[in-house]
Amino acid sequence: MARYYFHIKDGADLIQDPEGSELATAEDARRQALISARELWADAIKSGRSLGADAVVIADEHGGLTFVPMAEALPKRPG
Amino acid sequence: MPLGVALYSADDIISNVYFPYTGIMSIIVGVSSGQFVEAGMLGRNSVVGTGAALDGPAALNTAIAQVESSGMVIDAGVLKGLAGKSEAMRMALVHHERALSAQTQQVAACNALHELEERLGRWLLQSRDLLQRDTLPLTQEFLSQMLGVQRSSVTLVARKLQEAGLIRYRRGHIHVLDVEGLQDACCECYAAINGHFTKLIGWSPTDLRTQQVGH
Repeated sequence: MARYYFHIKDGADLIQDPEGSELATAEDARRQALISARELWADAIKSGRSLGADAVVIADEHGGLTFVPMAEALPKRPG
Repeated sequence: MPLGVALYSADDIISNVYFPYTGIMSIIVGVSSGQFVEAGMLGRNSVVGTGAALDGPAALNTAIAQVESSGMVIDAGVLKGLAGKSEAMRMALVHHERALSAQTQQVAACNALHELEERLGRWLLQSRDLLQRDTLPLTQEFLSQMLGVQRSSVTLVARKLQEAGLIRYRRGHIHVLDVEGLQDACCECYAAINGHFTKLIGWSPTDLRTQQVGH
């Protein structure tokens, strides 16, 4: 298990995740980031407010960063 | 399993009824995916596990003690015997059970209809009343579990409340800075839940902050 932090990038701002989550693999962290991004989209659409995020940024314990753009969480278009 | 200590879990036989002095007891409902959401919270001067004294001992949901809690415990069978002999005891337990039922109905509406920002505001105000302090020893992970959302959603909404000067978040602690502002930011469910308590029991968790009542 390793600790992954899920910061939220909003333009020039980076909203820090102060706690992080224990997850088994980097792939689990990526899956978690996509689940989070889907929920952020859903809340923004339901409330009609701005998204307030353009990427979920996964930070591992060694300082490595993975950017998961919000657009990756959107459903694929048919055809 | 959520953070916290389970007092009883769904389908358990409830052998004890709890009378909390401090802390927060949450009634939570889990689903088969492993997710769960809080349906109501109880604390000082409330009763947890009332159904076992009024009806049968089978637990229909799960109760967990959040944060550090203390209280008194009584054997469910003994309390059932007392309730059978005393109309006043029986009615007191019925009032507490109805207050919890009213709270869980309100929370069902709140979870379905209100935005996370309002729900978080309601939840923080309820917790502050039960803990009787402005600094709440709560992690974002715990908050997200109780509200049934992803932690990132709590991170975003907590930042909004913090930018508005209503709370300050430090790792593992949330400080409520502006109670009136938080009341304005949250939905009507906080006041509604307190109103149900006042109607049924004569005081609400908010009253407990400032006076000794309900003993």
